[in-house]
This record gives sequence, structure tokens and C-alpha cells, in this order.
Amino acid sequence: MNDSAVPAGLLDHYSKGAFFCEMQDGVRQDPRIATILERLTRMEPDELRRRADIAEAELYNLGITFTVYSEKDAIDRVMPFDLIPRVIAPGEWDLIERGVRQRVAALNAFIWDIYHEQRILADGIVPRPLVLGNVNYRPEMIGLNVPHRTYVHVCGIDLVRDETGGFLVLEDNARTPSGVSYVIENRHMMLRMFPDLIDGIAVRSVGNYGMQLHKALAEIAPPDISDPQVVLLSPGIYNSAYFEHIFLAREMGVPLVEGRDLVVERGCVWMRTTAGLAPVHAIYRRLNDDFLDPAVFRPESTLGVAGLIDVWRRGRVALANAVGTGVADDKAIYAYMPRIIRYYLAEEPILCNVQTHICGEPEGLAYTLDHLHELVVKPVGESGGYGLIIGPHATDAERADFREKLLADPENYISQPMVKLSVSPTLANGRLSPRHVDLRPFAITGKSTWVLPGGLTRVALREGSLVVNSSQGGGSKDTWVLE
Amino acid sequence: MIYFLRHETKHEYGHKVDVAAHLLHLTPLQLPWQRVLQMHLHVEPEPSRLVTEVDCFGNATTWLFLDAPHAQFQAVLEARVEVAPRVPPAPAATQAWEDIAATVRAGGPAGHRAAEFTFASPMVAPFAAVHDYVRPSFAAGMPVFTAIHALTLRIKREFAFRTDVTEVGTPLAKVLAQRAGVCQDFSHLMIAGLRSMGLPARYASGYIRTRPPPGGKPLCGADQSHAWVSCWLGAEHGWIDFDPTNALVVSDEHVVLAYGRDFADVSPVSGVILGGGTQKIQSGVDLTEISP
Repeated sequence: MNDSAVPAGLLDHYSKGAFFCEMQDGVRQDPRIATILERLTRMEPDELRRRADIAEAELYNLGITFTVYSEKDAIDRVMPFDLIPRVIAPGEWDLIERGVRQRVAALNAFIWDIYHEQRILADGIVPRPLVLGNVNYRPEMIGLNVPHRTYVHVCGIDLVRDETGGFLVLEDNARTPSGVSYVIENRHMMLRMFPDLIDGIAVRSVGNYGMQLHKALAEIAPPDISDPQVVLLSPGIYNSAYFEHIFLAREMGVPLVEGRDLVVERGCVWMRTTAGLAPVHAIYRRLNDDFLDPAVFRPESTLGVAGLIDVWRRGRVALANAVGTGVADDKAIYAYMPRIIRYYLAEEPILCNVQTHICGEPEGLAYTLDHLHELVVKPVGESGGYGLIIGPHATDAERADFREKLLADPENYISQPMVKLSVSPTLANGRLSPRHVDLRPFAITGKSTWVLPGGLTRVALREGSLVVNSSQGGGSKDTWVLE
Repeated sequence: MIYFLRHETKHEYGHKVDVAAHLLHLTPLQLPWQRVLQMHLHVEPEPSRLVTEVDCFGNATTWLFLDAPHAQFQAVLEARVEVAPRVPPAPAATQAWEDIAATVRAGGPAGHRAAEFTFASPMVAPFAAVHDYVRPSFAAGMPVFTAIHALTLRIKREFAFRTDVTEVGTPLAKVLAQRAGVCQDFSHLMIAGLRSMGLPARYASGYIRTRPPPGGKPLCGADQSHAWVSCWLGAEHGWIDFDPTNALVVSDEHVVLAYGRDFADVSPVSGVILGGGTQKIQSGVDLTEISP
């Protein structure tokens, strides 16, 4: 990028440093990114700030919030929204889309195998303890057949970009990935706030996610039902993603229910309505496995529906995602994903993993202990950025503490080198500054896989921070995939 | 040996129960050494739906759904079961325990199905104290049968059978500390210990004969459901059952209902009820020899 292409103004002090910049380096991938950048830099800082304030107020008024479980007094928080979009060139998106499809196909094949023949364990490709000793392994699923062999109907795959501009997979989310409501709401917001920025640039729509999700749920409903009743099963208002549950039920045009609204009778699932019981054929559940059916899993659960699993097993109702998918999105299994892709699909992975050391293996542990100051070490069972350590940013005391935790329970950890996450211009202190971003594309699978053209771009708002999780102070951006 | 088996479970509720779903593991297994000649499962009130199937461990299960309000629920199993004596392998003919642990740890087809039973399960997770407790029974290179048999005898010797000191949910650490409990506690403890050594161990749910054979010693846990431990001794010998409550290698005194990772997988009667208030549970078991 030479200086003449970027007019002076907002980008005056912008320096991307040693990182890949989604905008400045993106220009090489599509000249329209330069147009967007130019329009941005022509805006007055005060004007930008004014629009940012309006956007934040609107998000709060719309109730687009999430809950931070560890903060007792703050029930709802707005996920900070950054006005500067993250733009992806068509060629880059094509790669992501093919990579995500491949990954989803491999995840489904893996889960089918784990709950049927367990060939991959017998062949020694994946060590048994990672699967059979996994807290999310559900022996109740063995031998159960799901329509189209699809277990992961909604999948969110977290991607990052390194300093060379290559996309890497950071994590698979195969249980109940959330965040898609922000993708759609962010777009609504941008179209209202910045009609002048998007004008004349063909950005792919994210508006039909609800329709695609409904279509996939109808595809897995019992085949003899011509117009299946779909519902969204939520744990209720205290769930951190409750806003999203309301949002998706509305987008699909289906009832939002809780466990107490459903009942199992005569071998089917019914919903209590003011006009009596009405049959339910497909359930998009945003409830963890454990809570779904107290007769099978946690007996103390009051959020689920007794007998649900039995009806599902008999194919009289569809569940998305299927039970037991947590065994595949574990951080320890993640390390084996390239081998899993080769094993089932006989293809090379389109999207690579971040290099991963498994502390449960002696070599991995030794390497991690020797290189603690340059690695990110994560517990395998946690999500949301809890309990990890970023070696280069930690103090000596923090590292010493962590070393003990690691030695006490090495199987619970994996480590990865620090990825130099790409940056994207972000509004901070009245001008554009580089902030690190990731990307979570969403894939919906019924009979086949559809990938939402866009995805959730999360941004670490603190200067230099690499943690983008909303529970750790991350924000989001609109993601524009160019036609 | 042919036994007549009767197992009665009765739940009496303070208030009527509106809706209930029960999962029963109350069908004795068909096994090479155990044949179910005749069986009847009587349930009251009449369930609106009854489903039988085989669970992932190969046990027969019965799902009951009760839609009508009821003040009590009763399940009675009556069966005639023929059990042949099982001959244990010669201890010296079994592999060293380290080899068994290595086989299931290694991956690959050998020990593939047994490997699942080396991991923590909902009610049995290995912990340091139980490992320390079982460790002395496992001398280096000792045949696996010898080691497990020694452990079975130790538990019988060092633990008191007492029905008033534990409940279904009592933590294993407490059982170990107080050196007392019932058959379920001893079985879970032994399974935890074996798993901590890397050996596959599963939980057996069933019954033991109510009266000892003429001239024999009375057996513990005879008028209730019984539990013991099934251990994998390598591909050649397969699963052999040990009863730590009675210091026995299981032969023909036991009738097996189900095998699982722990009690939670094979509880004879479990379920969910809506309503009911307080509940009183009574159960009784009789396992009588009717012909040798």
C-alpha cells in the first residue's frame, strides 16, 4: 500500500505494525476495499463519533445484549459495536466457504463413527482417552441414527488470519454456537448508519439465515410430515444468549418455547398452546445436552423435557444440534482435526489449524514447559476465553503459577504459538487504530451445507489485546463479503 | 443351578403424581452362562406407553410412560433363571496387569471395547487416595487375576458392611475414609481403584442367592439388589466378575441384570415424576434355588 492511495485524515497515525491489515493489505485482494477505505477517511471524526453513539444507544434499546456470568451485578451488557466494517474479497471468501464445508463434513463423519463403529479409535488415529474419557462423550448416542447423518446442524468455526494473510482455524464450535444474531443486526445497523459507505458496492446479504435454518430443520423432521412444526427451545431469560433465541425464533417465524411448554405423550412431542396440545416435529435447541431430558441426563434438570430423547431416538422429532457433538469440538480433538479430515474425506485440509501441542502427550508437555513465555496455553474443557494464559504477556509470577497448574493436570491443556492476529481499522479515541480481529463463519447443514456469506467478526477493543471473546471485553464489527 | 427370582419395587407418593417416565434395567441378561427360562415384568398402574430396547452396553431396558394421576407405582420382576458355574482362569495363566493396562491404553483393535471402562464415569472417577489404597495389591509383573483377587479379599477384610452409613450419592472418598458401606460402595471403590491403575472395570447390577447353599456361609446383600465388579483380563479370558462384598470370584451364586460404567448406567428403577410430594420407596428381593 503506498501512501498516495490513502488520503490524510482519520488514518494519519494508523500503523498496522507487523500484522496483516484487513483493509490496507486487503486492497491487494480487491480494489473496492480501497474505495471503502477512501470513503471512510473522508469522514469527519466528530461525525463518526456521533454515529457511533447513536449505534450504541440503539443496540441497548433493541435489547441486543449478552450476559457475563462472572459479574453478578451486570446482568445485561451491550456487545460493543465498531462502525468500521471488516471487508473480505470474493476470492478469500471462496476459500473460507470451501474450508468450512470440508470441516463440517469431517466433523459429522467423525461423530457418526464415534457413535457407531469407532473405526478411528480402532485404527489408532485419535487416542481413545480423548473421546471415551471426554466429559461430552455420550454413550447414550451409540447406535442412534440421525437423518442424513448430520449431527452438527449449526456450526461456528473460529478463524484467524496470521501475518502472511493466511486463514487458520482456531476452534470448532459444534454444540450451540452463538453470535449469528449480531451478524444480522450489525448489518441492519450499518445500512442505517452508513448508507453512504456501502453505496454502489455489492455486499452479499446475510438476511436469509433464518430461512436457511428453517429449511435445514424441515429437512431433518420426520419424513412423513409435509409441513413440519419447528420450535426453538431456550433455557429461558437467564441464558447469556437469550436475545439471540428470541431473534432466531422471529427470523424463522417459529414459536420460542421453554422445557415447561413441551410435553411428551403418545410417543410424540407436543407444545402446550391456548388451543390445547399441538405437535412439534423439529426442535432447534439452545440448551446443553445435560439439561435436555431429565430422564436420560441430569435428573435435577427442570429446563428439559422428560422422554424427549426417546421420541428423538424413534425419529418422531428432530433435534438440532444432535446430542453428543461436544466430543468433536473439544480443544484436544481440535489438534487431530487435520488427521480426521484426511481419514474420512481423503482430502488435504483446505483451512489449516494453528500449530498445537497436546500437553497430555509427553513431548507436548515438555515443549510447552520449555516455551511457556512464547505460547498460549488453554484448558481444553473451557470456552469463552476463561482460564487461559498468554505466555508473552504474562508476568513471571503468573507463569510460575500456571506452570504448577499445568503440571498438576497436563491432560487438561493444549498450547499454541502466539498467532499474530490480523488487525482491522477500529474507531478508538476519535481516530482509526489497528485492533486485532477474528472471524466466525456459520454453517447450516441439513441434507447439505450452506455457509452464511459473512460471519461474526470479533474485535479486541483494548490496544494490543488478542482476546476477542465478548465475555472478556471484545466487540464486534459488520463483516462484508464482496460479491 | 435354576433360581426363582422375585424383585419388587414400590413407590408410595404423598400426593398424586401427574406424569411419570421411568427407565427400568430389570431384565436379566442372556449370557453364555446365564439363561432366562421365563420372565414376567408386572407394572402398576398400567403404563400408557411401554418401550423395550437395548442400551449401548447391551442391556435390555424398559421405558415406561405414565400419563394418568397415580398415588403409587409398583414394578415386580419374576423370573426363572438358569446359571451355570463359571470356571475362573488359572491365575498364573493371565497376563501381567501392566500388559493389560498397556493393551487398552495403546489403541488399535485389541481391547477396543474394554477401553471405555478405564475412564471416569458419572459416579466413579479415580482419585489419588483410592490409587494409593489399591497400589499395594499390584506388585510389578503380577498376573492380573492374582492382583485383582487380592484386592477383592482386601476390601472384604478391611471394610465393614453397614447399611446405615452411606446413601446412593455418598462420595467415594468418604467410603474410603470410613472403611464402611454397602455393596454398591465397595464396587464403585474397587472400580475407581482399578481404573486408576489403567485397568478396565465395569459395574455389575443383579442379585445374589438369598440363602447360602447347605453348609455355606450367609451372604451379604442378599435381600436387596446386589452389585459387584466385572474386570477385563485380556482378550483370551474376557470379563471375569469379582464380588468384593463377599470376597468371591463370581460363579453361580449371582444373577446378572446389567453391566455398565457405574450404578448410574444400570440403576434398576430410575425416572422422573411430576408432582408426588414426599415419596416412600420399598423394595424386596428373593433369589431362591429351585433345582440344582
